[in-house]
Amino acid sequence: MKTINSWKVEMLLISRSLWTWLVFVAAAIVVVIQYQTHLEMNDPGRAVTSTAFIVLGGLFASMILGLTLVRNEHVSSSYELFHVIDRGYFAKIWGKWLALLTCVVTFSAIAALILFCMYFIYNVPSVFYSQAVFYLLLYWVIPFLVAGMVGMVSGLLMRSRLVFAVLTVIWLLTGPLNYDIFSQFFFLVPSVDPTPLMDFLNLGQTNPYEPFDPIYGFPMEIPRWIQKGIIGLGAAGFFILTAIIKCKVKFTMRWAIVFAVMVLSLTWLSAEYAKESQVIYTGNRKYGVLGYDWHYYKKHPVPSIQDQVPFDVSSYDVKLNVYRKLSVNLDMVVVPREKGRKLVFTLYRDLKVKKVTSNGNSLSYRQSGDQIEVQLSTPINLGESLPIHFEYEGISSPFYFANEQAVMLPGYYAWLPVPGAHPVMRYEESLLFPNDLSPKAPVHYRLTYEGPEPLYSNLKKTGENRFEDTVAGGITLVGGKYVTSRTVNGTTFVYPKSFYKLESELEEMERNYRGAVQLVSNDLWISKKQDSKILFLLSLQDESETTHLLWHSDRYAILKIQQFFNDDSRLLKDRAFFIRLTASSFVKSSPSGQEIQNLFSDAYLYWVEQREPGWVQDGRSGMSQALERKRKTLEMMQGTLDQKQLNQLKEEISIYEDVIKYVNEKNTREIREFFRDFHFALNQPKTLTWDEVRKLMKEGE
Amino acid sequence: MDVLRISGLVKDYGKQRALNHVDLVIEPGMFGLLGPNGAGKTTLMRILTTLITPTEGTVQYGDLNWKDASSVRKIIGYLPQKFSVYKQIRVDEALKHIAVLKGVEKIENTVQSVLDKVNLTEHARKKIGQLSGGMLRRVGIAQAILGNPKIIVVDEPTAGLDPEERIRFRKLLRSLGKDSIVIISTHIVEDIETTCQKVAILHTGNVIKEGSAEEIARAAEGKVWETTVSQDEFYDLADEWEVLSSYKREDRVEARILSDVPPPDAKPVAATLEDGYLYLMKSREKVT
Repeated sequence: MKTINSWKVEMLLISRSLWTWLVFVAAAIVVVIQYQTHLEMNDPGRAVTSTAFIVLGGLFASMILGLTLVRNEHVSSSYELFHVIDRGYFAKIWGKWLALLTCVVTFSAIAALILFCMYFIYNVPSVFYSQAVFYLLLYWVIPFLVAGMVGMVSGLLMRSRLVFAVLTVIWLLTGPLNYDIFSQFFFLVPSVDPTPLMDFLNLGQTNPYEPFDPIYGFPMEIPRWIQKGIIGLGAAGFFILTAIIKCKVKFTMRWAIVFAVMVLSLTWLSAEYAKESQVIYTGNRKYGVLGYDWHYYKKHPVPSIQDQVPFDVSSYDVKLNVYRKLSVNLDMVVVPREKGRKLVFTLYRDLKVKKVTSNGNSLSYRQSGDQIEVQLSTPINLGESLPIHFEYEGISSPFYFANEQAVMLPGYYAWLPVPGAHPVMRYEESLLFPNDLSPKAPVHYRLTYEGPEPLYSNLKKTGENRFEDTVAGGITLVGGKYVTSRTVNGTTFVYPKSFYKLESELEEMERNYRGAVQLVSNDLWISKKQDSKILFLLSLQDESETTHLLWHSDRYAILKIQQFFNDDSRLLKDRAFFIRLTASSFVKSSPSGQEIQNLFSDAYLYWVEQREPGWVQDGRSGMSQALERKRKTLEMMQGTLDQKQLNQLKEEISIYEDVIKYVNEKNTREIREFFRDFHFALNQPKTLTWDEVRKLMKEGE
Repeated sequence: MDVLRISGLVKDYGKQRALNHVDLVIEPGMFGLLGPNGAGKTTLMRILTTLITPTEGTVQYGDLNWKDASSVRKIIGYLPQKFSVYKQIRVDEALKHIAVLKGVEKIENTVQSVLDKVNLTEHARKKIGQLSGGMLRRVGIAQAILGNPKIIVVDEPTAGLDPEERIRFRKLLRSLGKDSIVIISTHIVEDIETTCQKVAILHTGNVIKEGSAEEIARAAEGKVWETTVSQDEFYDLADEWEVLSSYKREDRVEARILSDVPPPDAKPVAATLEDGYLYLMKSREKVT
């Protein structure tokens, strides 16, 4: 009764303050603008996640609100009066806490309501509604409440103006921009990595600049909830203790029980927090998606263990469990191509093998980097087959996540042990590229799955969470709340729900894709098996801009989609885009470099455009535009480039001019021959040079 | 009714002793604590209201010991020196809130009754920020008497009020002493003189005198003199003697003088509480 009445009075005071309404209205306007801006760009996820400045402002406002609430009695000279009433001030403190909670929840609820209205207007899929509520709870309600309690505790403990300095420091330390603000100070102590501490203290979303990942969804992994739980519980404990001391309330057995429960909960939460778990930190930071593997493969370009006996795997029976991390129980059948005792597999380095057995007997093994060397008790002969059982678990690459939120494991990525010693990724010209480690020959797979649902795979579904098939190209798994699928003209599209506007264009996209594959296959003499029946549209974050935009395998393909705006509809409807993409996709990890691959796909598209005049939409082909760009670069950068770079650029311009001339002058047969040779040469392990491309043109004559 | 018993009360702030073995027995009715600034009045008030704890000594009301602060707060009504509540809420809202916190039953009736008592009924719906100083003090009294506390502590009740408000406020205070112990702390002698049956005089943390107003006044008996002099003579008189007060009557000045020996041409007059208080203060200063 006392607490409720105190809450009512606090709410009365808040509602009668002009400042309240000014802050509320200003915040609501910012929220509306924020949502509107991103939804206009078709990004229902980013509308919510890129609210770092609102969160930062909200944290500060909550701290000041907390401080103001506990200082009300000092300001109104009624502090002593309430302290003389038995448990009067204590009841008021709880009333203030309830008022803080009311303000935080009301503001967040209004923000959610505005968001829902906008989602409704923009026809955003239902999954975003429920997930946005959880997001707001995790990144708005709990942080604002914690910040408010920090303000209250500071106000109770400190009377001087120093409290504002203290609150400012706490605010910056716990805000979503804490890493950016404080990382500069850590340069002074390079041995200390501030990332884990900063991430733990951060009450907002880590790296708020990053785009929303449409497959992964809102970053709400279990450890993030636990982190908020630990901070929230800690803040609550500190708040209650301060209130008890300041209000001179007797520390009764009831309070002792409350604190005992809190300590036990904190201990449990800390233990849970410490457990291995995949949390996706975006950006280029050491643990970020773009930084983690980049740093590793820059330092480790070659396999850690040398290849031994060449062998194949004829079947995999996989029991996959995905929850916080990836756990696999796997039975495979190994078929050697030579006699030998040591088998070397490639498996992503953070997936740690716990056990390797064969026919129930333990096999000794050594795991180093991406390699596992298994020592057989007796040599295996050619023509024999050997069952091997693997048990492993760990954190998948941040590029290819697998946790309680979502699963995105492409077939070319070594989340299953594959024969041979290869680095899972390669560092090239400051960029990181995935190596295609999928088996090229058909392999029999059986998969039993437990994890985020629904799950989509290139394997045939045989039951509830059971899949089985014999395919080349490994197993691709995509699962989670944000993924959906639709079959159009026999092609199944697996795509993020945030691409909802794309749904009406799937037919056109299917036509373009199918047409492009047909055209390129015919022109370049590529087998028809590339005609995929399943097309995964995935938000792959790897940095390869061309080579892996489209990855083909047996009966399925993976198309890397632009995730920045969740709107690739323009590109996906664009026939030229598909032709260029398809042409480049048939170049397998060419060592010749990006520029020469770009020339190939630009030139091929140019040829297609010349064959179908009037098809180029803006009257200028990609080839002409690329040439124009290079000329401009030469003009602008002439003074800054060294002689070698200048020569290289001039060479590129010259070859582009030559190719345009060649395509314009030669007949279809000659040009087709040239492109087939060019494509063949690019797929060889040897590096292709500009001169060799010229030579190919001359050979065609 | 029980009496409030203060025994051997000591309060130290670091090395500074604010109260030095204070012993008082306060009976129901109006009790005044008189003393200059720094005498320890506020410290004693804060101990009585449980805002601070004593270094030594006990405070007892019947069976209730001040160690049990929670129970003490249930019988205490307090009007702090700097009293106000939230400016944005109305008088009735503020009183109802305090009544709820005090655990008062029948809140509407009780609040109405205290509003009537302090003559604020017609201002009940005014916001606190719109009240005059006198009205605010009356709200202070209203909140202090909510729940019929057995002990009401009032700190510097008339500070900052205009003369008219003071008179009205003292009248209000007098009405409270019928059913409770009302302790008034002030340095304005008139407040005590017009309201209290019993007085204690505090000086540098010590109770130097305790008793009725008459008993305090008696301390200066035979030491208060009155004389009438010309304006020029008055300046010499003021330099030489302790002049308590003076009144100008046409071209002459009537002066009250505090002295152990009679000043020239002066006649003895009856001592008042203020005379007694000042005499005690002077005596104390001489000793220290």
